[in-house]
Amino acid sequence: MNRKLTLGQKTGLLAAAALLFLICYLSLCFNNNIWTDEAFTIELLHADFAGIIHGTASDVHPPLYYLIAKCFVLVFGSSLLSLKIVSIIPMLLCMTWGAAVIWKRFGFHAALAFDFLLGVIPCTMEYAVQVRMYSWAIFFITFMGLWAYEAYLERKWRYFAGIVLTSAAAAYTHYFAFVSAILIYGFLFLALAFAPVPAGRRRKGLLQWLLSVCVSLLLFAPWIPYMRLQIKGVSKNYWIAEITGETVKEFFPFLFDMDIPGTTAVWLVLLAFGVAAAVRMIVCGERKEGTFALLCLLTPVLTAVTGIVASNLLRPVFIVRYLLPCMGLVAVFLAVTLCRYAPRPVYIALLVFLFCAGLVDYKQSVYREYEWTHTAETEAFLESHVGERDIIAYNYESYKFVYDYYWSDEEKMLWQGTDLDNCPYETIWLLDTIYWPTPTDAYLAEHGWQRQFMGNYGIEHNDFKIYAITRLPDTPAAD
Amino acid sequence: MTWITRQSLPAVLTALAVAAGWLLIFPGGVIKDEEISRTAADYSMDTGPVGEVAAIQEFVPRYDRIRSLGVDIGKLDGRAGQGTLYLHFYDENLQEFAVVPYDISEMRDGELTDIPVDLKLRAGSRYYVGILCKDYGEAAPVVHYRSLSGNGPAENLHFYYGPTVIDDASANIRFTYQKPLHPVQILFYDSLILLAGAAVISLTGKKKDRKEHEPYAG
Repeated sequence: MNRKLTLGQKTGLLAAAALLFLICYLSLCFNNNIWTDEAFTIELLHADFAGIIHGTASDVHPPLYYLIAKCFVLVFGSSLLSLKIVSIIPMLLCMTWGAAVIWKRFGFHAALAFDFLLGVIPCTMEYAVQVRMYSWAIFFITFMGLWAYEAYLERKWRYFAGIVLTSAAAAYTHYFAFVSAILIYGFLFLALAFAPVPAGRRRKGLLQWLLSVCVSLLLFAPWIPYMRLQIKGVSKNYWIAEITGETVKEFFPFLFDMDIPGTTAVWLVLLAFGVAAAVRMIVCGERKEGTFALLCLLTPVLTAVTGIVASNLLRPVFIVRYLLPCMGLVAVFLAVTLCRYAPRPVYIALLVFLFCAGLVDYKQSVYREYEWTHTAETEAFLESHVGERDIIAYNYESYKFVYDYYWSDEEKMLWQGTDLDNCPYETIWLLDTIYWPTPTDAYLAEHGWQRQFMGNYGIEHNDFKIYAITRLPDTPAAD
Repeated sequence: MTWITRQSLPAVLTALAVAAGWLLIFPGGVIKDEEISRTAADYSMDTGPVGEVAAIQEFVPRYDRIRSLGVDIGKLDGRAGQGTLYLHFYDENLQEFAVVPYDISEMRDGELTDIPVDLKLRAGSRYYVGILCKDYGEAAPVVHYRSLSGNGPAENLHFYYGPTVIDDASANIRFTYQKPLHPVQILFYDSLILLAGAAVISLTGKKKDRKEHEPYAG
């Protein structure tokens, strides 16, 4: 049976794939876990638009994601769920609109494979539901790449307008997305300037390219003074560790490991097959398509090289997470190349494999979002134990703005410097991390207090023990 | 077996290889998942040197196979940086059934070092692991331990230095288990084998039978 699918069936399949991932992503949103960067986002979104721009300017990223999230918050409220949905939207746009662009140029098989690949590349599922900018950066860079190819083939103004908007948006979303956007502009220039032109035809598109670059720069110009300040700040002090050979080796597991043996190698083999297929396309007369695919892969590679070089010249500024904006292009590369030479049974086997890989990814994500950390238990424990005359104390000062998300300043205090002799609380619930010495029994007794270990708890990426610190029976409470 | 023609032989062999691959994954279990269990982060205390006297941790494994055991030793400012550390494994009747040596110079100082042990145990039964060093030169290393009640891991019971139990102590240890794959993980490997099989059959099949994708529109 070799029945051809109708247009409606194909559209239905693409919609079903997008819907499947939408359901997966939504199902990962019903928790109350946030980590430091997400806490920063949430804190920043309390400000108005001007405050957000000033707040971002004093941080290290550009402001567009926060502004998008703020618009969403104004309409749908500031619950964590609605913030997570902000991050899902661009993934969904890639899987529908992006897939449609790929379908038009590379056929339905590549479009369907793209949806699965984008959803299944191991690092993407986690960041699709994070209150951070990465999924938006994926959207902008993927579309810039796709429209750059359309602009090269068609030389139409609307595609150049598309790359102007997406490049500026990428630059305003993440600086390493900006690097990727510059690379894509560079590739487009090389293609327009040096690709062979049929005899008698005039080379076209360079003027459009130049105008696009100028408009992109013009759009980004208002942010350049802030960017310079941020670079100055970062060059003095930044948290990223030095990049060594070992760090670079760890890039691959971060992007492709699915927490079971051999998965990084499996993805690297798929990439190798993709490269082989792209080379074959170039050799066998599909030069434009093969080159486009290779450039999709080269974008993250050169973004990483730029990051590593910059880190060595200035100070460490690059971590593998900053390659996430290019993951849509990696999915385009794999979809275009792997589907080109795959006969029907191999294509179906590839989809089955991607579906199963998606299951593994999803299982891992469920664990990460719902079981890995103790956030829900911690919240439940403190809710049931902390009385009106009690207080929560923390001893990891840097985590204050994470704790701010969970408890107001009236409900919590910093442990360091607490005057136990004049402490008005009945019970102090100490979140005891390893970043400050645990108060000893002798020290507490000296001030008329005692401690009881209540268990190991934590909030995403921050484990602590909870001690109930209460007065010794014969100690009167301070007023 | 006349129905297997010369042309169909590669496909039949590949199909057999795929079936064999599937059986090796399940029920064969050639690929295992890993699970790690360790003490929670906390301040560590030192035993005395484990040269003449062993540090012994009583434990109850959660799975049947331990791939490696992470051990945290202190090298006393480099004075205890050489020699061989031995992990002696005893069953609940104190019968020794395995000894695993490890070069102390290869071990981290004050951090966990995973020592490959690859032991088949009975989940839920009681065992003891003794840590003792030989040929250590100037000084023997110490073993780091933490409060059991606050840190676990759930496997650890009593911790001894020589014959003496240290109250509420738990060796700073990391158990890395090998455990059977989850059904979803089995599906992943099976689908990978299927993909590889389909690719091999298509490559070895007759070229005219290969219906590749149409060339891209350009």
